[in-house]
Amino acid sequence: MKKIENILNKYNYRKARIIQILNEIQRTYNYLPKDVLEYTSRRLRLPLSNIYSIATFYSAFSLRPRGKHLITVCMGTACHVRGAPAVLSRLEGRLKIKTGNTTEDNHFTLRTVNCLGACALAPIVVVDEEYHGQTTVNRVDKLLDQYEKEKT
Amino acid sequence: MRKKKPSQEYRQHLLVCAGTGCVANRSFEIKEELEKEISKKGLQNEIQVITTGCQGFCERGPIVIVQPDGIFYQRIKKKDIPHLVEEHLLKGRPVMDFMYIPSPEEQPVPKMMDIDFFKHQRLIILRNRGRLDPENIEEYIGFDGYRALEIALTQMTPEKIIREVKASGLRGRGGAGFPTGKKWELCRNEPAKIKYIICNGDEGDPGAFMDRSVLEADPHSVIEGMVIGAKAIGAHKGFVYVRSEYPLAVKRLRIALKQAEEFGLLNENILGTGFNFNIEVVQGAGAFVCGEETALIASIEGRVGRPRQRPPYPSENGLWGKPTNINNVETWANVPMIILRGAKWFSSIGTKTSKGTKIFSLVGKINNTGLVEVPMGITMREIIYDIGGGIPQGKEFKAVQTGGPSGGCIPKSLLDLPIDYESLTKAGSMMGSGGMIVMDEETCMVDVARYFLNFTQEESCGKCPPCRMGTKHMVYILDRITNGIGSEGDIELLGSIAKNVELSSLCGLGQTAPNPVLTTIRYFRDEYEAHIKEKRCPALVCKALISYLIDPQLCGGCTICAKNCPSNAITGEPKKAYTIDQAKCTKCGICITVCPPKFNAVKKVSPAIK
Amino acid sequence: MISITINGKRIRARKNETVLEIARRSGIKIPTLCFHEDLTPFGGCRLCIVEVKGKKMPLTACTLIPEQGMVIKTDTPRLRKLRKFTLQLILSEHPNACLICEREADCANFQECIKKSAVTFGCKSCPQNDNCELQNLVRELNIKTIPFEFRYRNLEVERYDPFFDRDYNLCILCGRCIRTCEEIRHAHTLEFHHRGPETIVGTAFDLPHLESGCQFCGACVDVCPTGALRDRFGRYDKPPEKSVKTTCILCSTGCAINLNVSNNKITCSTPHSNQICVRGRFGIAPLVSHPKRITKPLIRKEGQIVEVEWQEALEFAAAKLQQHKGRTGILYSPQLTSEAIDKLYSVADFTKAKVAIRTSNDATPKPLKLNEIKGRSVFIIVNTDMIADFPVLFLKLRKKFERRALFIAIDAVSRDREFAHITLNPKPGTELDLIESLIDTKKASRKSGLHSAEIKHAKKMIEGRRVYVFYNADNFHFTKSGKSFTTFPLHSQINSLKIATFGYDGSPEILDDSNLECLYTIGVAPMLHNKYKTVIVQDCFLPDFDFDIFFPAATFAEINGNVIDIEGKSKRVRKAIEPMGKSMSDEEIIATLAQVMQVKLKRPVRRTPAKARSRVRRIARKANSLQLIIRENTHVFRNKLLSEIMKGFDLMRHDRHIWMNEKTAKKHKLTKGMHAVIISLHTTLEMPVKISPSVPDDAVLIFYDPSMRIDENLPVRLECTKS
Repeated sequence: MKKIENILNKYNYRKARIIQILNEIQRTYNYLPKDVLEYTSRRLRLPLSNIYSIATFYSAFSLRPRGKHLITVCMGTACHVRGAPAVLSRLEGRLKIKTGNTTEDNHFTLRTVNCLGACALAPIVVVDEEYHGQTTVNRVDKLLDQYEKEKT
Repeated sequence: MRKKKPSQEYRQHLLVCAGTGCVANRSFEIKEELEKEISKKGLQNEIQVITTGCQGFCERGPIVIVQPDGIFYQRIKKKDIPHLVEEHLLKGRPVMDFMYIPSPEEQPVPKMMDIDFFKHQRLIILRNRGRLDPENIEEYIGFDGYRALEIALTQMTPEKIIREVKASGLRGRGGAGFPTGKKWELCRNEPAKIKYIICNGDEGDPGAFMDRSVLEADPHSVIEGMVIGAKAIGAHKGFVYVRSEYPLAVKRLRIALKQAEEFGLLNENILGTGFNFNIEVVQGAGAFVCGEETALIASIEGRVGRPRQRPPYPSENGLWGKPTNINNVETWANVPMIILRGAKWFSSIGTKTSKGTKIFSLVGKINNTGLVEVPMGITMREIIYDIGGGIPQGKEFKAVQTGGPSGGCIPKSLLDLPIDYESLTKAGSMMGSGGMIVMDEETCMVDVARYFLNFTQEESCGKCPPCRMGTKHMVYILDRITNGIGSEGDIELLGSIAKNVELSSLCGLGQTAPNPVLTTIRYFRDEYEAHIKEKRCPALVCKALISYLIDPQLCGGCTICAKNCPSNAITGEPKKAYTIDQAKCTKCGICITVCPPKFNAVKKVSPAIK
Repeated sequence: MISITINGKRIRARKNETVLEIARRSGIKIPTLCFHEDLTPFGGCRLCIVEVKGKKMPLTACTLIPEQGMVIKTDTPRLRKLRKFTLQLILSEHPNACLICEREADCANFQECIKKSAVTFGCKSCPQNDNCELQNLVRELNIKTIPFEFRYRNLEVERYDPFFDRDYNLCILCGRCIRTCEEIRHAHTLEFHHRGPETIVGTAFDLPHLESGCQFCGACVDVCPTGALRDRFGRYDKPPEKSVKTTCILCSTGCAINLNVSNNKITCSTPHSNQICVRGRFGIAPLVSHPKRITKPLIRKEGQIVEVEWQEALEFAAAKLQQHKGRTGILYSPQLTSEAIDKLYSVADFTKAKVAIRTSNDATPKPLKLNEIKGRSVFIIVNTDMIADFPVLFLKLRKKFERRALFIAIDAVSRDREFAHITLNPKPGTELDLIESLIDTKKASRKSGLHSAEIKHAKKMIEGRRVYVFYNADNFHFTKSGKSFTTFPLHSQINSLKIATFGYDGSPEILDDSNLECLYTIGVAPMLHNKYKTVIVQDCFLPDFDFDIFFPAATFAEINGNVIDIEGKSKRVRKAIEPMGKSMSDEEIIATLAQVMQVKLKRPVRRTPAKARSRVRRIARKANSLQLIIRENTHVFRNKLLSEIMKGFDLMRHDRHIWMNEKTAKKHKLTKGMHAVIISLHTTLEMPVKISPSVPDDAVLIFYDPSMRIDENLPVRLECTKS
């Protein structure tokens, strides 16, 4: 729990900073674990129901563990107009999961986001923190192959 | 890290664009490679390489500009660099191959200011883009940075500042266009001792990235604006709310804040005048609705971003119940120039009711994708054709969507519309944050309406039934229409739900959500009717209404499409025409993209083949 | 004061009054759903929208504070259209089959059976039929069609928690339950999850309410405008024929409640004006019609228990009381009405019986005078779970003093207390030391096991404030007295003050006296230590021990009388239904008994209580022995624990368990579900084990009855038995 104390301390245990705190917890654990939220609730004296409400309201937070690689497909208007839905379908088909879920081997989590603000690179797919611009539907396979190679 | 010489001692500067777009295209690697190559040639004491914020011409990234020559290089790859350094920097011969060419028939345009994209722009907010390192405050100061702050704090009273901003005619750049000076005045007039100012950087409109750009390229312009505003209003604490999808902006902002503090421009006793003001950066967490003022305030307070009814307005009762003034990033960035050059200068630009310039993000089916700053009053046609370079692949312009999910589509017939707040609203759309999504003949307007409404529904906070469920029912109807099961009366039903949602929703999100539907029905009713009556999608987009066919006359039997089809729906014999099994086809579109241009045999048809 | 115009009429308004409040008091009707007068305005349902001259959009009346001269219209064609639209949208997600059905009137005949289908597809199968705000609004706005597709959320009805069901298929997301739970009860159990059309109401991590801090007070059920939250007990009954205002006697707060009656059965009890707690809300109706309730007099004849008529039972009892004159002990509960108690003392005097009540504490009850609390204060609450024992009183305390009082909770048993600014968990037995060191500027307590920094911090917070110490008089003995603080010992049984006025003895007086031959218990279930020749029991349920005569008593829902609450106010208990079976009120039983014995009923005289028992000296613990922590069980009804007769209370309270933490359990090789025995000097108690981290190391906690002859100053041993 030392990690959590450090995070809480950084924000002076202020209840109003809960969203920033949850952000850091997610960065540390790759998702928001239940026991960590319970601990935070006690330390901040913020009801757990409030924290849970915040965690489910904001789409940046995940209450379930995420895979090793997070694939984010931008579904902003520019990307949409340049074929993002087809890219998403192709990814879903290839990974055999629906958006918002993680592959069985825990390697990939697939999710969408509503505009990253890099519209000139549409359609854009971000894997972890790397932006892959102009990832049209026929480039999806090559992109995935890159990340699958390291599995073996 | 090498110690840098003061900038004036270098004979040339290489400005490498490091906005998110170019960074994604490995511009940092370009920078390193340039430095390496320059070092190799022994030129490190004569030529400095710096990274700047977004240049705006994102379509052509990575971008390298050579100053003071003003030569513009685009689409630079790592392998180009040795040649570039050898030819241009060492031998003084600019390299034509790396320059911008408007179209294959034309000559390359070496100088940045001669390129159409840049020529027609008027940079006020983006004045520093591409010419300074945003992580170095001294460069900002070198370009007259913080001079306006000095004037405001030492030579002007708060009332005078407000008068100046009012006289300038500056209106909120976030969407609604409320007169900024008046907004400041309302907040100033509140008797409370504690007040707050907020910079709204929750740029949620899909297709808009100007706020991100400004924060990444020139964070000090925003900081300066905020300090001036704080002085005018009487606030001592400010927040910059940045959405979670903009990590680079947050990073640059934090560096800028630290440096501003070191230079005595922030926190205690600013510039020795005794004025205290500090700024905190707060990150969002993925909720578009947090761009709405009361939801943003709730988010800073650590609560869910559910808006509340206004009145009372934030200027009266805002963050923690105190008077709060919220302005958009772009609005704040305008303030220093207004103070420095005067309201008269600012109001000389633009139209009668909309003064100054506006940044638009030009995206979608357009040749020159990027960020442009132009004076208000410019026509749509100028932006799309003169600056934007027109539609790629010679396709027909169909519409441009402005204002994001709260706005609407402007059709071809209104291309000569001068862009300002009023004219866009009259046409059924709105200025919004300035996103301009260009659509061509291959964009289906019904699909666009469904896309936007889907977006709004996902982002709705859920508090009021009109937005939460009204938009949902509109999506159901649009889903039916795009799936080929629309019926007579659906358009009228959409219209009536839209009107009701507009009037009964609690906040701006719900009140403006129906706009995309209303404008597409207004200007593209024929497309809706084709979908409903003929089960046909004129733009060949809606999957349920199209089929993919291989024209046997054109097919060369090269087998490429069959090999790439993920559903194994294409069969045939080599050298003979192939066919697509409609039952297996998932309409993913891969075949059409891999079919060699010499054959171009895969076609889309609508209505779908049974 | 300002003046505004509503619908052409000029009205004067106070500063900060909302348009809705102004309209309501002026007799102008504006439809609402998410509004509730006790809660902060939400502005979410969009039904109360009004048109304001000069504003483009309609605004919600519940949030709008008008300015001078504002011109408002509340009922225009446009508003009606928009309200209808909004309500139709709400109905598109709420089972609406019956709401707009043309055959509604004919269907009335099939109401009863359909309700039991347990799936609410429309009003007729909904427990809230004819008692639903949504239904009323539909009728008011005259909605005949719903032009939107109906989507059923298809959520499972939540039936796994005690007392009430939750069918979120009917929820219209008005948020009233959330705001009530948060703003009024401070339990923070419910919240909105997700957003947009996926929004739904629930607990953190969708855990059962039993695990989410729910107090089961029922406040959310009371504010729900639809049938989404509903009582489980009376849900198949017809809507109540009448509602009788009475006083709940289950604790000394004496809340005003309504007993709802249908077919001479209490279907449910609801708050009359303010708030009530789980006992009064969900404990009364099932208790009154409990299947194990005895409603006929019983006598032991030739070793067998047989039913008899009242005359026979009373004559038998009278004879025995005569026989054992001077050697009888009468043990009763203050839960009786004042009239019954008065009469009881007459009988007691006549039979020269010793009389005592169910208590062992020596603190004389005094009325709780909240107006004695002045200025900036600090409330120190010791060894008392206010939320379990005095919930409504505590709400009153919070509301009244929230702004100027600091709350410090001191308890050996640790618990999440969101109201406490400071929580201190000293070692059991050191609480008095701790308090003294906080109040006294000199002493610093070491024994408590707390860090000196914590104590210092608390002392600093107390500086300059008046100190008020609240505690359940059975859980803590405050022997200090002084000018710098005021104590408020709280007695949990109603009518304790009645008895205080003329003195009383505690139960050990009787139970320890081996000379007594006859025992007469009224509303108590003591642990017996001696053998008696005759045992007379007057109660609603059978006791655990052998008896000779049983008088079936009526519950407080079936009688009239007066009781005195913790603040000294006299409150009326009113009869809502006829006593069940042959049961009679305590007053009537005693009066008739007196008649049979030819006792003249007279005003009771003040008695001199026996000398206060000397406190047992604290005996040090040996290795392997444990500290005993005892807490009064405040969830009782006469001779039964609520948890004995209603499963819901058992699940909530686990008060028939021995509580210990994981470490202690492991040390004694105990796990959940096993039975353990506590061995004390005079008593052994066997109960199942409950593991809880709130109990400190080397200690065990039980909810006790004063007759248990168990004392926290004596160490105990713990042994495991075969489960």
